Amino acid sequence: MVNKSRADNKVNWISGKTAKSRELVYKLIDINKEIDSAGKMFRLGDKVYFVRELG
Amino acid sequence: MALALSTLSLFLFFLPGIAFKRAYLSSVFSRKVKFSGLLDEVFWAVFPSIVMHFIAVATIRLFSAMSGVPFDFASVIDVIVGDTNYRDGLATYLLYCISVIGMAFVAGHVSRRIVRVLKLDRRFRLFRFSNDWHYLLSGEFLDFPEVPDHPEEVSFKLVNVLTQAGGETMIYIGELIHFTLSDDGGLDTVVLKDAKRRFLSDDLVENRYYDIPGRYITIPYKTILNINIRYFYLEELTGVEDGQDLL
Repeated sequence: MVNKSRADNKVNWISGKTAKSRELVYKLIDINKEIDSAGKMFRLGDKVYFVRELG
Repeated sequence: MALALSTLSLFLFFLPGIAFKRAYLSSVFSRKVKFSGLLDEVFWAVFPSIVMHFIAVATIRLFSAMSGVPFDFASVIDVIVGDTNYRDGLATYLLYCISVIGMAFVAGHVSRRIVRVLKLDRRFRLFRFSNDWHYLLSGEFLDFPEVPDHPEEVSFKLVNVLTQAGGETMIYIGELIHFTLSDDGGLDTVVLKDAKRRFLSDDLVENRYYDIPGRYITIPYKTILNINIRYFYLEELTGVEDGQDLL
């Protein structure tokens, strides 16, 4: 199986003004120590997200 | 009497600079207009005043030439230099000063708007407003030249707030959704959404946070010991195959 990279996937940036579900916020809280500037992918329900730290 | 009027006329002459500064710094992120040193205050009073007077004189001359309504500048100068004929031009001088002060006030607001729209305050320290909290909590400080990334990319602001109340030290973690500034320009409250909490004393014992019922929690600044802010870029991916290394 070919392991697709993030660049191959369609991305949908989530604006800072978009309301995020409580589950999503809790997930980000739980994994926040593992998030770095390179970024991490995580799964929540049937959705997959990419998150990276800015600054 | 003449000395008092001369002093008053001189004060009115430099008032446009003070009006300009008050208007320029009247936004929420620079609410506190503090004394910034004698030299700085004199500069703020004199420089914008002179610029405003130049613009006012040019505008009045242009208006006068276009409308045919004469304006007696000689009587205005008489009042400023304390000439014996100052009584004749006092009303004209007051009218002139009120116009220039009003113009300076409007110019101050317009200047601030231009600085904000062109993001000059983020690019150049010279234009930066005094309230650091605004830049920090809004994420605009990511636009500072010394910081990588851009605030437009921010999807999520995660904050750890360490508070002390009733002898207990508590850590709150959640999404920073709002903040308010006090009248003196400092931070007043921060509002977290979907926050969790735990006692600092439990930090070495366990690694879990406790849910807080309700979606929003307001934390007064007076109880805050420190704040840790992290900015995240978040995107939803589609077309991800199973088997990838996910958290």
